[in-house]
Parts: sequence; structure tokens; C-alpha cells
Amino acid sequence: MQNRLSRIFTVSICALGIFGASALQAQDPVTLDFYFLSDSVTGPYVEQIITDFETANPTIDINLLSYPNESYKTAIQVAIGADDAPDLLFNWPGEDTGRFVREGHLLDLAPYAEEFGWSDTVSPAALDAYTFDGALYGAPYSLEAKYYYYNTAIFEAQGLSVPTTFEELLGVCQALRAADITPMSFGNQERWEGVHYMSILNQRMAGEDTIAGDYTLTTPADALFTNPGYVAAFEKLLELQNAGCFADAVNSTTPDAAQAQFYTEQVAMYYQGTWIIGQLDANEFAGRYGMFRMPPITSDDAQGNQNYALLGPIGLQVSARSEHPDEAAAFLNYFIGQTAQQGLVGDLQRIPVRADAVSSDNASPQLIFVVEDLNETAGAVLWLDVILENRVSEAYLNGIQEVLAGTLTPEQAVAAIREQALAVQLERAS
Amino acid sequence: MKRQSTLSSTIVYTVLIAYSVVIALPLVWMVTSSLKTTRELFSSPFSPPVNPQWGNFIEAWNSGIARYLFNSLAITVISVVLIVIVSGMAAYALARMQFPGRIPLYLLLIAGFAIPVHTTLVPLYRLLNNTDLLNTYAGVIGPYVAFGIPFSVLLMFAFFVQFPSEIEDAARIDGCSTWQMIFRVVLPLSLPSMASVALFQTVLLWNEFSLAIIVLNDDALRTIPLGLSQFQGQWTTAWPLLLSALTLASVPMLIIFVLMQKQFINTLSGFSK
Amino acid sequence: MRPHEHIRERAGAWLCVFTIFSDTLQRVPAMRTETASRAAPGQKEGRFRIAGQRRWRTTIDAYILVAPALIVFSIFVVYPLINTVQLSFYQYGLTDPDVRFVNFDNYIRLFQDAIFWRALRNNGIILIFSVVIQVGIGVVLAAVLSRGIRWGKTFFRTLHFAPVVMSAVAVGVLWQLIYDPGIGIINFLLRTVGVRPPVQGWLGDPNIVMFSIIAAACWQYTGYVMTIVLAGMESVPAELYEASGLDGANEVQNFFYITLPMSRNVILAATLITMIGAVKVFDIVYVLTRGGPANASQVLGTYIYYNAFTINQAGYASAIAVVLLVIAVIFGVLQLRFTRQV
Repeated sequence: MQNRLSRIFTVSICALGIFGASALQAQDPVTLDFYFLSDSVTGPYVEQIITDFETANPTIDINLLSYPNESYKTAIQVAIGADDAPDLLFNWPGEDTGRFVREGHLLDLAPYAEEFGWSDTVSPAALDAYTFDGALYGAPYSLEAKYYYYNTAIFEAQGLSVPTTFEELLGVCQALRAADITPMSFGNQERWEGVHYMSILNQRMAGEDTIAGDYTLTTPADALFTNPGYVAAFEKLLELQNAGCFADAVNSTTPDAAQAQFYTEQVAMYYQGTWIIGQLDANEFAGRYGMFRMPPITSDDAQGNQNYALLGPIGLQVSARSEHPDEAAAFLNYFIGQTAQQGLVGDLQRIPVRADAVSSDNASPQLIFVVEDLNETAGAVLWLDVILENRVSEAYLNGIQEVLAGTLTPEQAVAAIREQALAVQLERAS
Repeated sequence: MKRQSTLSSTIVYTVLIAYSVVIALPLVWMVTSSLKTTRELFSSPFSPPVNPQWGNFIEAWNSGIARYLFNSLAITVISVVLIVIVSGMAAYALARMQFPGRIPLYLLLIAGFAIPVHTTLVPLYRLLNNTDLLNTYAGVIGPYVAFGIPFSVLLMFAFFVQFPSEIEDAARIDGCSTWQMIFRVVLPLSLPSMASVALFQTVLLWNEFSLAIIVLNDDALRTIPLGLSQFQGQWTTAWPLLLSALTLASVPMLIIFVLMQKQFINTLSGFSK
Repeated sequence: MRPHEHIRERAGAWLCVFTIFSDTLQRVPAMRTETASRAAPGQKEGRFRIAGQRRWRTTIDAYILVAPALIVFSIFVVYPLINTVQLSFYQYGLTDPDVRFVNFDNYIRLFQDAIFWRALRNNGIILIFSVVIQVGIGVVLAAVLSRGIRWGKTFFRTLHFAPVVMSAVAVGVLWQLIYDPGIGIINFLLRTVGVRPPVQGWLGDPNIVMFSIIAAACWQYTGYVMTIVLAGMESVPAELYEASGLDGANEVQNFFYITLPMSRNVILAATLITMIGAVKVFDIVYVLTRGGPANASQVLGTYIYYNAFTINQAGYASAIAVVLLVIAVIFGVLQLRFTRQV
């Protein structure tokens, strides 16, 4: 309520601000710290947005601090723990956001969303992922979906066609192995590539309804993570491994190295998020690959809708402690505005959150394929490590590595995950 | 007897050289690979670079190595100077002066010498946060000095205990106060032992990582080990670049070592006896 | 006047100001003594007072000298250590404003936590293998360099010590590349001789990973042990060897009957230093594996870091830190005892 009142107050001040524009410009510039998840390709794009925004708003100065994937979560946690939270931060939806919401670190952006009319322009599903109890804690700026990328030249040379079922995919692997070609790279050193596999396999095997309750730990204790689909999902992963799909050393290969194996044509396929389209293009691999979604699993024990996609938004948030929430929100609005979103497509070939940003002018054929393909899906699931509570997520991440290494059976891994989930559920109840 | 020793010395040299190759190979590989292209790295890892890619070094240098070297240098020099001063003073008093609480104080100060910094990471983080020292040089220098004290006191205490008391007595007779004596007589004579301590702490602090990683979050303040760890995450496939950074980061210490070998060895042998 | 002498003069001058200040402070009781002596002159008492004055003065000087070290040490070591023990009784996360006293819960959890035990065991594995490999090879190398060869001693010593001055982070990154399944030289060499490298990779197989880490650590630190022990062996009196040479003993016998017993203390010290290193280990594990795959290479240091700064369990991390502290203190005391510093 107080928030709403202060909003009205600021709106009227903004109206007055029109008359006092020159006085406003004489003010000291407001500096906003901005923590961002960087990679080699997104860096220049984000820097360009910042420059453009600062030119349009000379009183605002954005200080960008970027971290590569693995150190980002630690960096942001350390900063927030130090009461030194940046004004603006990158974050995933799900529990990564949920935890900060519960601990009171994030600003509710709903009033700004209303002011700027985000609900008219931004994908409602993407906004939903950042909505907790009716409050909006993030401005989603891109969607990421998981696809198989395949080397068209290799597929042609081997006379292979795109697999339409999971079983056909296993067949493709065996055929490639027979021709002495490594079928897929798989970089699970940082553990999240494995979790992406399990996120979609769990949905396919245990079903979207089951996982919804288990991931949020709202399923009753006696049923929590007991659906046989979880073990079956691990077994599907092992089926891929046993069919010789994966390159050696999955647990000690980094995702970047796995991607490099794909575009240097050492492997025929790679399962990865759509954010690599731009990176593949940057490595002169544009037009030399095709894409397909995780194919449907036809075995009888598959309980999920086989037409689901692994898809989720990523977004920016404002710290509850920011001294300049209005300026921060203005930046977010610019970040998800049409110009910036068109750049997201044109420069990076990433999936935008607004329909008016993508056209055949700025999108590559691959991206257009993805956007059209996603329209035909029956639904979407998020990455499970992002939804699960920290410790349960860790149990899952480790369980996957152990199953792949053969040090745990699928049953043992699921039992360990269930045990951790029960402990956290109990802790939450008390 | 002569014959036997020729034979055995051949065996000894063969084994020694073989083992030395194991030690040298990673270093040689690091330097030669840093000058190659990624393709060469895959195809011929041991041959010398066909067309040395000096650009790798320039790119690594410009990506922040210069700044990281400066930060490491500043933090190490300030910390080491403070450690030597503070520990030297304490060690002298503990070794040469009689006063109540001498033994307990000595034990307290040296007790920390085996304590890993990880046992205090969380409280240190809170302390530095509450005092606004996170992301400052002082935030690492303070703990570095503190964790350097036990070992340095130990080393210099051993030195001062052996210090001939005749010199002190002579100075006393000349009417020197404790302070004059320390600065006119004791300090000049203990310079070698201080150099040992300084050298030892320099190697330790130049390479320190676990505390720095939680205190220095800001790229502008990162030290060499932090920078390398950052590059490891950033350049996961730009291997020659990463190896150039490794080479650039390791060379300063290696040069200091080669130049000051004697002192290194004296330092090491000094404290293990 | 040489430049550093000049500096010393300056420092001396600065210190004299300080001395005058502390002298004035001390003259206050001294003057009182003077008046007391005049009122009741007595040789015995007077001498006692002069002795008392000097002791009092020495004590003040000593405390002034010890104070900076004591203050810094208390703020950044003693206080945090006490704080660690306190925090180990709380459920607490760095970003979590909700701090709850949970009594011994963290310790109970610790005893049931398989990863904690694995971390502890891994520290043990590193300790045992480091001692066997580093001290084993180090002692033999030192013996060879001190008595077994005629030329190249300095060269070999320099080469073997060189990795010691590199940072563990640099060594970790370097060895990660050496172990890399694609560009790594180990796999390249194995493939050249027709051996299939491990399917899971050197750092990806839970059964191999600890040994891969130990190999990298030994590569770095064996030269360190060698150098310490070599210095010890060099101080063995040459007459002993001369005497045994007259008795017709060969170098192997010399090694077992003279070199080893005479450098026992130095070897013991090197062993303890290696052990303490194994208890403290963090950097190389963090850089090579972050404790993975699936916690297979977790050690206490990395597990503390992981709990405190990755999964926001700072209270639990503190309980692990207390265990590490106890172990470290035990080894520290052993080291001090053996090297007779206490």
C-alpha cells in the first residue's frame, strides 16, 4: 500500500519534473551498479545498450560489473550478503529469485510494469516466471530454449535424418559410432548441462504435474520424489550414454569446450540452449547446422506430454536497497524496449520477450525456426536447478554427475535427492 | 671402486634427468603453447610454435594482467613491510626482554601459524563488511599481516634468541635506551633475518587466493591469482590466451627466485631446523 | 653516508621523539620515587626501587613493541576464530537476515553428512600421499644432489624448486589444461603409445580425481621438500663421510648410516610442513575441480567455502571450520614440538 502511495507521489513529481528539466540536468549523476552474467558475445551488446541509455539519460551512469557463469551466483550472493547489493542484477527465475524474495532483497516492479505497460508488450509467460504472490520481481529480457544442434554435412554424409523419436536418436548415435564419429559433445563439468538433460527427461518421464509439486516441495512427504518417472528419466540418460552418444570425459568438459567440439566438427550433435546460435554464427558456423527439440519418448512408462519444451526466461531485477529505484526501473524499461530487443535479435540471435522485436530482417533462419517451433509446443518446463531449493538442487546436480560416472545407480541418486528434499521440507514446516 | 662409481653415476644421472623432464615439461609446454594457435595445440603439442603468436601475450596483457600485477605488487609490498616491522618488534621484545606475560604472549602469537584462513572466512567476511573494508586493499592487507605474524615471529624470535647479548650490553653501557639500541644496533644486524621473513611472506602473499576471492570482488582490485581464476572461467576454449596469461603471471616470481636463489634456500633451511 | 644509513638516521630521529614521550610518561613514577627516597633514605630500599624502575620501564617498552602485532593478530585472527566457534551454533546464511540459535544441530548434521566425511577422508588421502611421494622423492633427490652427483647441482635444484614459487592457482589452471581430454598432453602421450585415456577424464572420474589432484600438488611441492632436506644434509659434517670412506663404506651405506640419521630432524620438519599443507589445502582443489565431480574431491577447505559462499549455509560452514581448526592446531602443536620452538 505504502509502495503504491509513494508511486503516486513520484508520478506527480515526474509531472513537475517536465518544468524543472534543466534543473534536473544540473544534478550530480546517479550511479547504478549493474551485475550481469557475461559471455564473450553478450558483453558488447549490453555495453551498447548502456551507452545508448546513458546518452538519452545524461544524469544516469550505469556501472557494469560482469562475471562468467560459474562465479556469477557466488558474486551476487557475496554482494547481497555484504549489504552491498547492486542496484540492478541479472537473475534466473524460480528459486534463485524466490530465495531473494523471501529474504527481502528485491524490489517489487509491479507498479513500474503498470506505468510502462509491460503486460501489453512482454510475453505474459515470461512475466509470470518472475511473479511471486502477485508481485513482479524481475523484467524478463530473453527466453532460452534447449535444442539439439546437428552438423548437416555429417548427417548428409552418413545418410542420417533428424530423429523423430528418442529411440531414433539412440539409433543415430549408434550409426555415428559405427562410422567412427563421436555423436555428441556434453560438457557437464559445471553440472548444469546435465541438469538440462534431466529437466526435460523428468518432465517426459514423470510428467509435468508430478514435477510441479515435487520441485516446489509441496507434494506430501510420503509421495515426494517417489514417482518412478524420476528413476526412469535417469535411465534414459544412461541409455544415451550406453548407446555411445556422448564424447569422453563429460564430467570434466566445460560447456564452452563442448560447444567448441561441435563447431570445430569433432562431434555431430550438441544439446544446448538457444543462446549459442549467436555464438555459433560468431565462429563462422552459421548455416552449417540444423536444430531439433528433444524428440518424444515412446516407451510406455513415459508419463509426460511429449510435446513440451525446455524453455525459460532470464531477466533483470532491482535491489530493494537501491537508492534510485526509478532510474533503475527506467533502465529496465529501456532494456526490454523495442529498440534493445531488436538488437537482442539482430546482434545476438537470442529469443526476445516481445513479439514486435523479431522479423525476417533481423533474425537468422535458425532463430525463426526456433520461434515457429516453440509456437507448436504444448507447454514448457523450467530448468530444475533453478526451481529447486539450493540444497536439493545441489543433490540433483551431484546425483547426475555420479550417475554419469557410474558411482551411483539411478535408484540411489533419486533416493539421495528424496532424502535431501524431505529434510528441507521438514525444515520449512518448522 | 672407480669403475663402480662411473656406472652408478650414469644411472643416477639418467634417473635424475628423466625425473627433471617430468618437472620441466609442463613449464616448457606452458611457454611454447602460449605462442601457438589453437589448431597447433591440438595437432602438435610438443613441437615449437611454427609462427609464434606474440599477439596472445599482448591480448592477455591488455585483458587485465597489467592491472592484476600492479594490485598484487601493491598488496604484497605493503603487507610484507608491515609484517616485518610488526613481527620484528614483537619478536625482539619476546626474545630479549624480561616482562610479565612474556611466555603466554609468545605462545598466543605463534599459536596461529598452522591455522588455515578458511577457518575464519565467514567472520572475516562479516567483520570486513561491517567496517566497509570489503573491496579495498586494506581488507586483504589487515588479515594478511595478521596471518603472517605467527610464522614471522617464530622465525625472528629464533634469530633474536641467538643474538649475542654482549653487543646489547655494550650499547647499554654507552647509555643507549632500548629504542636507540634497537635502531642503532639490533636492526642493522637483523636485516638478513628480516629479508628471509620478507622473502617467505612475499611468495606466500603474492600467490594468496582463498581470502582474496571473498574480499576483492571488484575487477579493478583483483590480484594475479584472482585474475587467473577469472580467465579460467572466461577463456575456457581460448587455450593459448589462457596459457599466455599463466606465463605472464608466473614469470615475475620465477625471475625473483632465480635471482635470489641463495636467500630462498637460506630462508627455507632456516626455519626447518 | 650510504643511503640506507641515512634512512636509519631518520628513523632513529623519529623514534627519539617517541622515546622522549615514553620517557616522560615513565618519569612520573620515577620522580615520586625520588621524593620518597629523600624522605626516607635507605640504601637497600633505594637499590630495590632502581631495579623496580628499570623492570617497569622494560615492561612498558616490551608491551609497546608487542602491541601492534598483538592488536592486528587479535582483530583478524583471534576475534574471527572466536566468532567462528559462536557462529557454528547458529543457522545462518550470508544473505539471510534470519539468524537462529540451533545449539549443536550443525555438529549433529556434520556427523551424519557423508560429504563432510568424504572431505575429511580426502584431506587424509592428500596427507598420506603427499608425505609418501613428496618426502620420499624429496629425500632421495636431496641425497642424490648432496652426495651423488658431481656437476649440475645448482641447475637441478633451481629447476625442481621453480614450481614452488608459482601460485597454486596458476599450477591448477596449468594442470587442468594438461589433463584436458582435448588439448592435454597426458592424453596426447597416452594416445601416441596406444593407451586409451580414462573415459571420464582425469578430473571427471570420482575414482581417479583425487590422484590427479595429488599428482599436480606433488609436481609443485616435491622440490620444496627436496630443498629443505638438502639444506639439512649439507650441514652434516664432512668428517663423518671421510671416516666411513676409510672404512670402505659405499654411498648407499653412507645414505642409510650417516645421511638419514643425521638429517632426521630436518626430514621430520619437512614431513610436518607437508602435513600442514595437506590440512590447509584449498587453492589447487578449487581451481582444478571445485570439489567435483559430485563432491568426489571435496576437502574441508573447499567444503567450508562451498557451504558459506555457494549454498548460503554459513552457520554449518562454521561448524566444519571448527573441526578444521582443531585438526590444524593439533598439527601446529606437533610441528612446534618437533622443531623445538616451544
